[in-house]
Amino acid sequence: MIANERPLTGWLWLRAGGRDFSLPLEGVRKVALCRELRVAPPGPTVSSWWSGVALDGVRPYPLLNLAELIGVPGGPPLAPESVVVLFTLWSQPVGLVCDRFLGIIPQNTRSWPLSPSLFMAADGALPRARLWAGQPVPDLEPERLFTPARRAQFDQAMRDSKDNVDQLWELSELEQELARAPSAEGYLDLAAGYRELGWMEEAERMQARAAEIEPEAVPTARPTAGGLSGPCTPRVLLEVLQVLWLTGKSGELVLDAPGRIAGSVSFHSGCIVGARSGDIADPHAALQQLFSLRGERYQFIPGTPAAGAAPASGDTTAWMAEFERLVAAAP
Amino acid sequence: MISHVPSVAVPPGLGFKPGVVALCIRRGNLFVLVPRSWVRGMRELTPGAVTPLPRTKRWVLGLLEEGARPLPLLDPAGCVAATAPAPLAAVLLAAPEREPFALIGADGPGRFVSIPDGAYLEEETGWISRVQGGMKATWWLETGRLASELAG
Repeated sequence: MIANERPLTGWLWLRAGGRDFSLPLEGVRKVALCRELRVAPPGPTVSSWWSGVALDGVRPYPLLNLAELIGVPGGPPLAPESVVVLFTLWSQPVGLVCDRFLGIIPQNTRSWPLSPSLFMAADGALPRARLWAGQPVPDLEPERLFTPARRAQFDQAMRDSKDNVDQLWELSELEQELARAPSAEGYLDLAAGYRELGWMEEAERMQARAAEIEPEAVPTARPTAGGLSGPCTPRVLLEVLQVLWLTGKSGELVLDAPGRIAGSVSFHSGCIVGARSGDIADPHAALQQLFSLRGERYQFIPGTPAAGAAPASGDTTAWMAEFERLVAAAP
Repeated sequence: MISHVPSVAVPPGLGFKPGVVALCIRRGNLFVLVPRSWVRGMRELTPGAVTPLPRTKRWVLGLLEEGARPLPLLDPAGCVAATAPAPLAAVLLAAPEREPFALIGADGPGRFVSIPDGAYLEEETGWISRVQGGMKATWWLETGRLASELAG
Protein backbone atom coordinates (compact mmCIF):
# COMPACT_ATOMS: atom_id res chain seq x y z
CA MET A 1 0.00 0.00 0.00
CA ILE A 2 1.46 3.37 -0.85
CA ALA A 3 1.64 6.20 1.65
CA ASN A 4 -0.56 8.75 -0.13
CA GLU A 5 -3.34 6.31 -0.90
CA ARG A 6 -6.85 7.60 -0.16
CA PRO A 7 -10.09 5.65 0.07
CA LEU A 8 -12.57 6.03 -2.78
CA THR A 9 -15.05 8.80 -2.04
CA GLY A 10 -18.64 9.10 -3.13
CA TRP A 11 -21.64 6.81 -2.90
CA LEU A 12 -22.28 3.18 -3.57
CA TRP A 13 -25.20 2.92 -5.99
CA LEU A 14 -27.38 -0.12 -5.34
CA ARG A 15 -30.85 -1.51 -5.89
CA ALA A 16 -33.04 -2.91 -3.12
CA GLY A 17 -36.63 -3.99 -3.58
CA GLY A 18 -36.39 -2.88 -7.22
CA ARG A 19 -35.56 0.73 -6.23
CA ASP A 20 -32.27 2.57 -6.39
CA PHE A 21 -30.48 4.02 -3.38
CA SER A 22 -27.01 5.26 -2.57
CA LEU A 23 -24.90 4.57 0.49
CA PRO A 24 -21.94 6.71 1.62
CA LEU A 25 -18.73 4.92 0.67
CA GLU A 26 -17.06 5.91 3.94
CA GLY A 27 -19.13 3.27 5.72
CA VAL A 28 -18.64 0.56 3.08
CA ARG A 29 -16.00 -2.03 3.90
CA LYS A 30 -16.57 -4.53 1.11
CA VAL A 31 -19.08 -5.68 -1.51
CA ALA A 32 -19.65 -9.41 -1.99
CA LEU A 33 -22.01 -11.74 -3.74
CA CYS A 34 -24.20 -13.77 -1.43
CA ARG A 35 -23.05 -17.07 -2.92
CA GLU A 36 -19.50 -16.31 -1.78
CA LEU A 37 -20.51 -16.12 1.88
CA ARG A 38 -21.00 -18.79 4.48
CA VAL A 39 -24.26 -17.94 6.14
CA ALA A 40 -25.97 -19.43 9.17
CA PRO A 41 -29.66 -18.93 8.30
CA PRO A 42 -31.98 -17.13 10.72
CA GLY A 43 -34.26 -18.89 13.18
CA PRO A 44 -38.03 -18.82 12.80
CA THR A 45 -38.69 -16.13 15.40
CA VAL A 46 -36.51 -13.28 14.17
CA SER A 47 -37.68 -10.13 12.34
CA SER A 48 -38.25 -10.36 8.59
CA TRP A 49 -35.23 -8.11 7.94
CA TRP A 50 -32.79 -10.38 9.81
CA SER A 51 -31.24 -12.75 7.26
CA GLY A 52 -28.76 -14.68 9.42
CA VAL A 53 -25.12 -14.41 10.36
CA ALA A 54 -21.96 -14.68 8.27
CA LEU A 55 -18.26 -14.63 9.11
CA ASP A 56 -15.89 -12.03 7.72
CA GLY A 57 -12.42 -13.30 8.50
CA VAL A 58 -12.33 -12.92 12.24
CA ARG A 59 -15.65 -11.21 12.99
CA PRO A 60 -19.19 -12.45 12.71
CA TYR A 61 -21.68 -10.02 11.21
CA PRO A 62 -25.44 -10.05 10.77
CA LEU A 63 -27.04 -9.97 7.35
CA LEU A 64 -29.87 -7.45 7.10
CA ASN A 65 -32.37 -7.40 4.25
CA LEU A 66 -32.30 -3.80 3.09
CA ALA A 67 -35.62 -3.93 1.19
CA GLU A 68 -37.37 -5.21 4.33
CA LEU A 69 -35.73 -2.54 6.45
CA ILE A 70 -36.80 0.23 4.09
CA GLY A 71 -40.26 -1.24 3.69
CA VAL A 72 -40.32 -1.96 -0.03
CA PRO A 73 -41.20 -5.38 -1.49
CA GLY A 74 -38.02 -7.43 -1.75
CA GLY A 75 -37.02 -10.44 -3.82
CA PRO A 76 -36.23 -13.86 -2.38
CA PRO A 77 -34.00 -13.42 0.69
CA LEU A 78 -30.37 -14.39 0.21
CA ALA A 79 -30.59 -15.44 -3.44
CA PRO A 80 -27.14 -16.56 -4.64
CA GLU A 81 -26.83 -13.46 -6.85
CA SER A 82 -27.90 -11.05 -4.10
CA VAL A 83 -25.28 -8.49 -3.25
CA VAL A 84 -24.08 -8.04 0.33
CA VAL A 85 -22.61 -4.66 1.22
CA LEU A 86 -20.47 -4.96 4.32
CA PHE A 87 -21.25 -1.70 6.09
CA THR A 88 -20.32 -0.21 9.45
CA LEU A 89 -23.40 0.48 11.56
CA TRP A 90 -22.85 1.79 15.12
CA SER A 91 -19.21 0.58 14.87
CA GLN A 92 -20.55 -2.91 14.16
CA PRO A 93 -20.03 -4.54 10.76
CA VAL A 94 -23.32 -5.58 9.16
CA GLY A 95 -24.07 -7.05 5.75
CA LEU A 96 -26.80 -5.15 3.91
CA VAL A 97 -28.44 -7.55 1.45
CA CYS A 98 -29.50 -5.86 -1.82
CA ASP A 99 -30.74 -6.91 -5.26
CA ARG A 100 -27.85 -5.46 -7.24
CA PHE A 101 -24.73 -3.38 -7.11
CA LEU A 102 -24.99 -0.75 -9.85
CA GLY A 103 -21.75 1.22 -9.51
CA ILE A 104 -20.20 4.15 -7.76
CA ILE A 105 -21.56 7.71 -7.81
CA PRO A 106 -18.77 10.31 -7.64
CA GLN A 107 -18.37 12.53 -4.62
CA ASN A 108 -19.09 15.81 -6.36
CA THR A 109 -22.55 14.85 -7.67
CA ARG A 110 -25.02 17.55 -6.69
CA SER A 111 -27.80 16.56 -4.32
CA TRP A 112 -31.01 18.09 -2.98
CA PRO A 113 -32.66 17.66 0.40
CA LEU A 114 -35.78 15.50 0.56
CA SER A 115 -38.60 16.64 2.76
CA PRO A 116 -38.80 14.25 5.73
CA SER A 117 -42.53 14.88 5.87
CA LEU A 118 -42.94 13.34 2.41
CA PHE A 119 -40.56 10.42 2.28
CA MET A 120 -39.91 7.62 4.75
CA ALA A 121 -42.38 9.00 7.30
CA ALA A 122 -40.47 11.14 9.80
CA ASP A 123 -37.40 9.00 10.41
CA GLY A 124 -35.27 10.85 7.86
CA ALA A 125 -33.60 7.73 6.48
CA LEU A 126 -33.73 9.28 2.99
CA PRO A 127 -32.31 12.75 3.69
CA ARG A 128 -31.27 13.75 0.15
CA ALA A 129 -31.61 12.73 -3.50
CA ARG A 130 -29.23 13.17 -6.40
CA LEU A 131 -29.72 12.77 -10.14
CA TRP A 132 -27.71 9.90 -11.54
CA ALA A 133 -28.11 8.06 -14.85
CA GLY A 134 -31.14 10.22 -15.60
CA GLN A 135 -33.15 9.42 -12.49
CA PRO A 136 -33.40 10.56 -8.87
CA VAL A 137 -31.41 8.32 -6.51
CA PRO A 138 -32.10 8.92 -2.81
CA ASP A 139 -29.26 8.72 -0.28
CA LEU A 140 -29.83 6.19 2.44
CA GLU A 141 -28.79 6.60 6.08
CA PRO A 142 -29.12 3.04 7.41
CA GLU A 143 -28.85 4.10 11.09
CA ARG A 144 -32.09 6.01 10.72
CA LEU A 145 -33.92 2.88 9.59
CA PHE A 146 -33.77 1.70 13.19
CA THR A 147 -36.39 2.99 15.56
CA PRO A 148 -35.66 2.28 19.25
CA ALA A 149 -37.94 -0.78 19.05
CA ARG A 150 -36.17 -2.07 15.96
CA ARG A 151 -32.79 -1.42 17.52
CA ALA A 152 -33.85 -3.54 20.50
CA GLN A 153 -34.87 -6.33 18.10
CA PHE A 154 -31.46 -6.05 16.44
CA ASP A 155 -29.62 -6.33 19.76
CA GLN A 156 -31.74 -9.31 20.80
CA ALA A 157 -31.14 -11.07 17.46
CA MET A 158 -27.41 -10.49 17.88
CA ARG A 159 -27.51 -12.16 21.30
CA ASP A 160 -29.67 -15.01 19.99
CA SER A 161 -27.31 -15.68 17.09
CA LYS A 162 -24.40 -16.65 19.37
CA ASP A 163 -25.02 -20.36 18.72
CA ASN A 164 -24.92 -19.74 14.96
CA VAL A 165 -21.65 -17.87 15.30
CA ASP A 166 -20.14 -20.70 17.34
CA GLN A 167 -21.31 -23.17 14.68
CA LEU A 168 -19.66 -21.12 11.93
CA TRP A 169 -16.44 -20.91 13.92
CA GLU A 170 -16.36 -24.66 14.53
CA LEU A 171 -16.92 -25.37 10.86
CA SER A 172 -14.28 -22.85 9.87
CA GLU A 173 -11.75 -24.52 12.16
CA LEU A 174 -12.69 -27.98 10.87
CA GLU A 175 -12.28 -26.80 7.27
CA GLN A 176 -8.81 -25.46 8.05
CA GLU A 177 -7.87 -28.69 9.79
CA LEU A 178 -9.08 -30.73 6.80
CA ALA A 179 -7.08 -28.52 4.45
CA ARG A 180 -3.95 -29.52 6.36
CA ALA A 181 -4.86 -33.17 6.94
CA PRO A 182 -7.86 -34.53 5.04
CA SER A 183 -9.69 -37.41 6.68
CA ALA A 184 -12.87 -39.29 5.90
CA GLU A 185 -14.08 -38.77 9.45
CA GLY A 186 -13.42 -35.04 9.26
CA TYR A 187 -15.34 -34.69 6.00
CA LEU A 188 -18.27 -36.61 7.48
CA ASP A 189 -18.29 -34.27 10.49
CA LEU A 190 -18.16 -31.34 8.14
CA ALA A 191 -21.05 -32.74 6.08
CA ALA A 192 -23.10 -33.12 9.27
CA GLY A 193 -22.33 -29.51 10.25
CA TYR A 194 -23.29 -28.25 6.81
CA ARG A 195 -26.58 -30.12 6.99
CA GLU A 196 -27.38 -28.51 10.31
CA LEU A 197 -27.03 -25.11 8.65
CA GLY A 198 -29.08 -26.18 5.65
CA TRP A 199 -26.15 -26.22 3.18
CA MET A 200 -27.32 -29.45 1.56
CA GLU A 201 -25.34 -29.29 -1.67
CA GLU A 202 -22.09 -28.66 0.15
CA ALA A 203 -22.94 -31.45 2.61
CA GLU A 204 -23.36 -33.86 -0.32
CA ARG A 205 -20.00 -32.81 -1.73
CA MET A 206 -18.29 -33.38 1.61
CA GLN A 207 -20.00 -36.77 1.92
CA ALA A 208 -18.70 -37.73 -1.53
CA ARG A 209 -15.23 -36.47 -0.67
CA ALA A 210 -15.19 -38.58 2.50
CA ALA A 211 -15.90 -41.65 0.38
CA GLU A 212 -12.95 -40.83 -1.91
CA ILE A 213 -10.41 -40.45 0.89
CA GLU A 214 -7.84 -43.23 1.10
CA PRO A 215 -6.46 -43.89 4.59
CA GLU A 216 -2.94 -42.80 3.48
CA ALA A 217 -4.12 -39.92 1.33
CA VAL A 218 -1.58 -37.19 0.75
CA PRO A 219 -2.76 -33.79 1.99
CA THR A 220 -3.78 -31.58 -0.92
CA ALA A 221 -4.48 -27.92 -1.16
CA ARG A 222 -8.07 -27.00 -0.34
CA PRO A 223 -9.93 -25.88 -3.42
CA THR A 224 -10.67 -22.19 -3.39
CA ALA A 225 -14.17 -20.84 -3.53
CA GLY A 226 -15.56 -19.93 -6.96
CA GLY A 227 -16.01 -16.38 -8.19
CA LEU A 228 -13.74 -13.74 -9.67
CA SER A 229 -11.97 -12.33 -6.62
CA GLY A 230 -8.59 -12.50 -4.92
CA PRO A 231 -5.50 -10.60 -3.82
CA CYS A 232 -4.49 -7.85 -6.20
CA THR A 233 -1.05 -6.91 -7.51
CA PRO A 234 -0.38 -4.80 -10.62
CA ARG A 235 0.23 -8.02 -12.60
CA VAL A 236 -3.04 -9.55 -11.35
CA LEU A 237 -4.92 -6.32 -12.01
CA LEU A 238 -3.63 -6.22 -15.58
CA GLU A 239 -4.61 -9.82 -16.19
CA VAL A 240 -8.06 -9.35 -14.70
CA LEU A 241 -8.61 -6.24 -16.84
CA GLN A 242 -7.46 -8.17 -19.91
CA VAL A 243 -9.79 -11.08 -19.16
CA LEU A 244 -12.76 -8.74 -18.68
CA TRP A 245 -11.85 -6.91 -21.87
CA LEU A 246 -11.33 -9.97 -24.04
CA THR A 247 -14.44 -11.77 -22.79
CA GLY A 248 -16.64 -8.70 -23.29
CA LYS A 249 -17.81 -8.52 -19.68
CA SER A 250 -20.09 -5.86 -18.16
CA GLY A 251 -19.92 -4.97 -14.49
CA GLU A 252 -17.83 -3.31 -11.83
CA LEU A 253 -14.34 -4.35 -10.74
CA VAL A 254 -13.97 -3.21 -7.14
CA LEU A 255 -10.59 -2.97 -5.39
CA ASP A 256 -10.94 -3.12 -1.67
CA ALA A 257 -8.73 -3.23 1.37
CA PRO A 258 -9.71 -3.88 4.98
CA GLY A 259 -12.32 -1.34 5.97
CA ARG A 260 -12.55 0.66 2.76
CA ILE A 261 -12.94 0.60 -1.02
CA ALA A 262 -9.85 1.88 -2.82
CA GLY A 263 -11.16 2.14 -6.37
CA SER A 264 -13.34 0.73 -9.09
CA VAL A 265 -13.34 0.10 -12.83
CA SER A 266 -16.64 -0.06 -14.77
CA PHE A 267 -16.92 -2.33 -17.82
CA HIS A 268 -19.52 -2.35 -20.55
CA SER A 269 -19.27 -5.18 -23.09
CA GLY A 270 -15.55 -5.46 -22.40
CA CYS A 271 -14.85 -1.73 -22.70
CA ILE A 272 -13.76 0.38 -19.77
CA VAL A 273 -16.43 3.07 -19.37
CA GLY A 274 -15.23 4.52 -16.08
CA ALA A 275 -12.61 4.20 -13.37
CA ARG A 276 -12.25 5.90 -10.01
CA SER A 277 -9.59 6.00 -7.34
CA GLY A 278 -9.81 8.22 -4.29
CA ASP A 279 -11.39 11.38 -5.61
CA ILE A 280 -9.95 10.90 -9.12
CA ALA A 281 -12.77 10.32 -11.61
CA ASP A 282 -10.80 10.66 -14.86
CA PRO A 283 -10.60 7.02 -16.05
CA HIS A 284 -7.03 7.16 -17.33
CA ALA A 285 -5.63 8.94 -14.27
CA ALA A 286 -7.62 6.67 -11.96
CA LEU A 287 -6.29 3.54 -13.70
CA GLN A 288 -2.74 4.82 -13.32
CA GLN A 289 -3.39 5.34 -9.62
CA LEU A 290 -4.94 1.87 -9.25
CA PHE A 291 -1.84 0.30 -10.79
CA SER A 292 0.26 1.90 -8.05
CA LEU A 293 -1.77 0.35 -5.23
CA ARG A 294 -0.44 -2.56 -3.20
CA GLY A 295 -2.05 -5.03 -0.85
CA GLU A 296 -5.60 -4.70 -2.20
CA ARG A 297 -8.12 -7.37 -3.08
CA TYR A 298 -10.14 -7.29 -6.26
CA GLN A 299 -13.68 -8.43 -6.85
CA PHE A 300 -15.76 -8.40 -10.02
CA ILE A 301 -19.50 -7.72 -9.62
CA PRO A 302 -21.23 -8.56 -12.90
CA GLY A 303 -24.04 -6.32 -14.13
CA THR A 304 -24.87 -3.69 -16.70
CA PRO A 305 -23.58 -0.20 -15.92
CA ALA A 306 -25.74 2.89 -16.00
CA ALA A 307 -27.50 3.79 -19.21
CA GLY A 308 -25.50 6.36 -21.07
CA ALA A 309 -22.13 4.83 -20.22
CA ALA A 310 -20.70 4.78 -23.75
CA PRO A 311 -18.18 2.03 -24.48
CA ALA A 312 -14.94 3.33 -25.96
CA SER A 313 -13.06 0.36 -27.35
CA GLY A 314 -10.22 2.53 -28.67
CA ASP A 315 -9.48 3.89 -25.21
CA THR A 316 -9.59 0.44 -23.65
CA THR A 317 -7.19 -0.97 -26.25
CA ALA A 318 -4.75 1.88 -25.75
CA TRP A 319 -4.92 1.65 -21.98
CA MET A 320 -4.35 -2.11 -22.03
CA ALA A 321 -1.25 -1.64 -24.16
CA GLU A 322 0.02 1.12 -21.86
CA PHE A 323 -0.48 -0.84 -18.66
CA GLU A 324 0.98 -4.01 -20.20
CA ARG A 325 4.17 -2.01 -20.89
CA LEU A 326 4.04 -0.52 -17.40
CA VAL A 327 3.73 -3.93 -15.70
CA ALA A 328 6.40 -5.46 -17.96
CA ALA A 329 8.81 -2.67 -17.07
CA ALA A 330 8.21 -3.01 -13.32
CA PRO A 331 11.00 -4.67 -11.34
CA MET B 1 -36.04 21.40 -2.85
CA ILE B 2 -37.29 22.68 0.48
CA SER B 3 -34.92 25.63 0.30
CA HIS B 4 -36.99 27.13 -2.49
CA VAL B 5 -40.36 27.18 -0.82
CA PRO B 6 -41.64 30.13 1.22
CA SER B 7 -40.51 30.01 4.80
CA VAL B 8 -43.69 31.68 6.08
CA ALA B 9 -46.99 29.81 5.81
CA VAL B 10 -49.53 31.46 3.55
CA PRO B 11 -53.09 31.63 4.96
CA PRO B 12 -55.63 29.27 3.31
CA GLY B 13 -57.59 30.58 0.40
CA LEU B 14 -54.94 33.11 -0.57
CA GLY B 15 -55.47 34.26 -4.14
CA PHE B 16 -58.96 32.78 -4.33
CA LYS B 17 -61.70 35.15 -5.38
CA PRO B 18 -64.34 35.29 -8.10
CA GLY B 19 -63.00 36.53 -11.42
CA VAL B 20 -59.45 35.34 -10.78
CA VAL B 21 -57.95 33.12 -13.50
CA ALA B 22 -56.65 29.68 -12.50
CA LEU B 23 -55.45 26.58 -14.32
CA CYS B 24 -58.11 23.88 -14.12
CA ILE B 25 -56.74 20.32 -14.28
CA ARG B 26 -58.60 17.06 -14.11
CA ARG B 27 -57.63 14.26 -11.75
CA GLY B 28 -60.01 11.28 -11.92
CA ASN B 29 -63.41 12.64 -10.87
CA LEU B 30 -61.94 15.84 -9.45
CA PHE B 31 -61.16 19.20 -10.96
CA VAL B 32 -58.37 21.16 -9.31
CA LEU B 33 -57.78 24.90 -9.70
CA VAL B 34 -54.13 25.98 -9.52
CA PRO B 35 -53.49 29.73 -9.00
CA ARG B 36 -52.12 31.10 -12.26
CA SER B 37 -49.19 32.90 -10.62
CA TRP B 38 -47.88 29.57 -9.26
CA VAL B 39 -48.02 27.70 -12.59
CA ARG B 40 -44.57 27.48 -14.24
CA GLY B 41 -45.57 25.08 -17.01
CA MET B 42 -46.98 21.70 -17.92
CA ARG B 43 -45.20 18.53 -18.96
CA GLU B 44 -46.17 15.09 -20.14
CA LEU B 45 -45.41 12.10 -17.96
CA THR B 46 -44.00 9.06 -19.72
CA PRO B 47 -44.17 5.58 -18.16
CA GLY B 48 -41.18 5.02 -15.92
CA ALA B 49 -40.41 8.73 -15.54
CA VAL B 50 -41.48 8.72 -11.90
CA THR B 51 -39.20 7.14 -9.31
CA PRO B 52 -41.43 5.79 -6.55
CA LEU B 53 -40.12 6.07 -3.02
CA PRO B 54 -41.01 3.99 0.01
CA ARG B 55 -43.34 4.91 2.87
CA THR B 56 -44.61 8.03 1.20
CA LYS B 57 -47.85 9.74 2.07
CA ARG B 58 -50.80 8.69 -0.01
CA TRP B 59 -50.57 11.88 -2.09
CA VAL B 60 -46.86 11.58 -2.91
CA LEU B 61 -46.30 9.63 -6.10
CA GLY B 62 -42.51 9.80 -6.13
CA LEU B 63 -39.63 11.82 -7.50
CA LEU B 64 -39.23 13.15 -11.02
CA GLU B 65 -36.35 14.79 -12.86
CA GLU B 66 -37.37 18.29 -13.92
CA GLY B 67 -34.93 20.95 -15.01
CA ALA B 68 -31.90 18.88 -13.92
CA ARG B 69 -33.15 18.46 -10.38
CA PRO B 70 -35.41 15.97 -8.58
CA LEU B 71 -38.87 17.25 -7.66
CA PRO B 72 -41.69 15.47 -5.83
CA LEU B 73 -44.76 14.54 -7.88
CA LEU B 74 -47.93 15.04 -5.85
CA ASP B 75 -51.44 13.77 -6.39
CA PRO B 76 -54.40 15.94 -5.36
CA ALA B 77 -56.69 12.91 -5.66
CA GLY B 78 -54.67 11.16 -2.95
CA CYS B 79 -55.09 14.22 -0.76
CA VAL B 80 -58.85 13.65 -0.54
CA ALA B 81 -58.58 9.83 -0.59
CA ALA B 82 -60.02 9.63 -4.13
CA THR B 83 -58.74 7.12 -6.65
CA ALA B 84 -57.40 8.11 -10.04
CA PRO B 85 -55.34 6.38 -12.74
CA ALA B 86 -51.63 7.19 -13.10
CA PRO B 87 -51.28 10.85 -14.15
CA LEU B 88 -50.35 11.55 -17.77
CA ALA B 89 -49.27 15.15 -17.26
CA ALA B 90 -47.98 17.38 -14.48
CA VAL B 91 -48.13 21.05 -13.55
CA LEU B 92 -44.82 22.58 -12.55
CA LEU B 93 -45.42 24.59 -9.39
CA ALA B 94 -43.40 27.53 -8.05
CA ALA B 95 -44.01 30.47 -5.77
CA PRO B 96 -43.88 33.79 -7.68
CA GLU B 97 -40.25 34.57 -8.59
CA ARG B 98 -39.01 31.37 -6.94
CA GLU B 99 -37.62 28.08 -8.25
CA PRO B 100 -40.14 25.26 -8.93
CA PHE B 101 -40.57 23.01 -5.89
CA ALA B 102 -43.14 20.38 -6.87
CA LEU B 103 -45.16 18.85 -9.70
CA ILE B 104 -48.89 18.24 -9.47
CA GLY B 105 -50.18 15.19 -11.34
CA ALA B 106 -53.00 15.66 -13.87
CA ASP B 107 -54.92 13.57 -16.38
CA GLY B 108 -54.19 16.02 -19.20
CA PRO B 109 -52.89 19.50 -19.96
CA GLY B 110 -55.78 21.47 -18.39
CA ARG B 111 -57.14 24.88 -19.32
CA PHE B 112 -57.34 28.34 -17.77
CA VAL B 113 -60.72 29.31 -16.32
CA SER B 114 -62.18 32.24 -14.36
CA ILE B 115 -63.58 31.57 -10.91
CA PRO B 116 -67.33 32.30 -11.20
CA ASP B 117 -69.21 34.78 -9.09
CA GLY B 118 -70.61 33.26 -5.92
CA ALA B 119 -67.83 30.66 -5.58
CA TYR B 120 -66.38 30.25 -2.10
CA LEU B 121 -64.09 27.85 -0.26
CA GLU B 122 -65.04 25.28 2.34
CA GLU B 123 -62.81 25.12 5.39
CA GLU B 124 -60.31 22.26 4.89
CA THR B 125 -57.17 21.15 6.66
CA GLY B 126 -55.22 19.65 3.75
CA TRP B 127 -53.53 21.37 0.85
CA ILE B 128 -56.66 21.44 -1.30
CA SER B 129 -59.95 23.08 -0.31
CA ARG B 130 -63.35 22.33 -1.78
CA VAL B 131 -64.89 25.05 -3.96
CA GLN B 132 -68.60 25.61 -3.38
CA GLY B 133 -71.09 27.76 -5.19
CA GLY B 134 -71.26 27.00 -8.89
CA MET B 135 -68.30 24.64 -9.52
CA LYS B 136 -69.04 20.92 -9.22
CA ALA B 137 -66.39 18.55 -7.78
CA THR B 138 -63.83 21.33 -7.90
CA TRP B 139 -61.00 21.97 -5.44
CA TRP B 140 -58.63 24.88 -4.91
CA LEU B 141 -54.93 24.17 -4.56
CA GLU B 142 -53.73 25.80 -1.32
CA THR B 143 -50.26 26.62 -2.54
CA GLY B 144 -49.16 28.18 0.74
CA ARG B 145 -50.21 25.19 2.80
CA LEU B 146 -48.56 22.84 0.33
CA ALA B 147 -45.31 24.81 0.44
CA SER B 148 -45.34 24.68 4.24
CA GLU B 149 -46.06 20.95 4.17
CA LEU B 150 -43.10 20.28 1.85
CA ALA B 151 -40.84 22.42 3.98
CA GLY B 152 -41.54 19.97 6.83
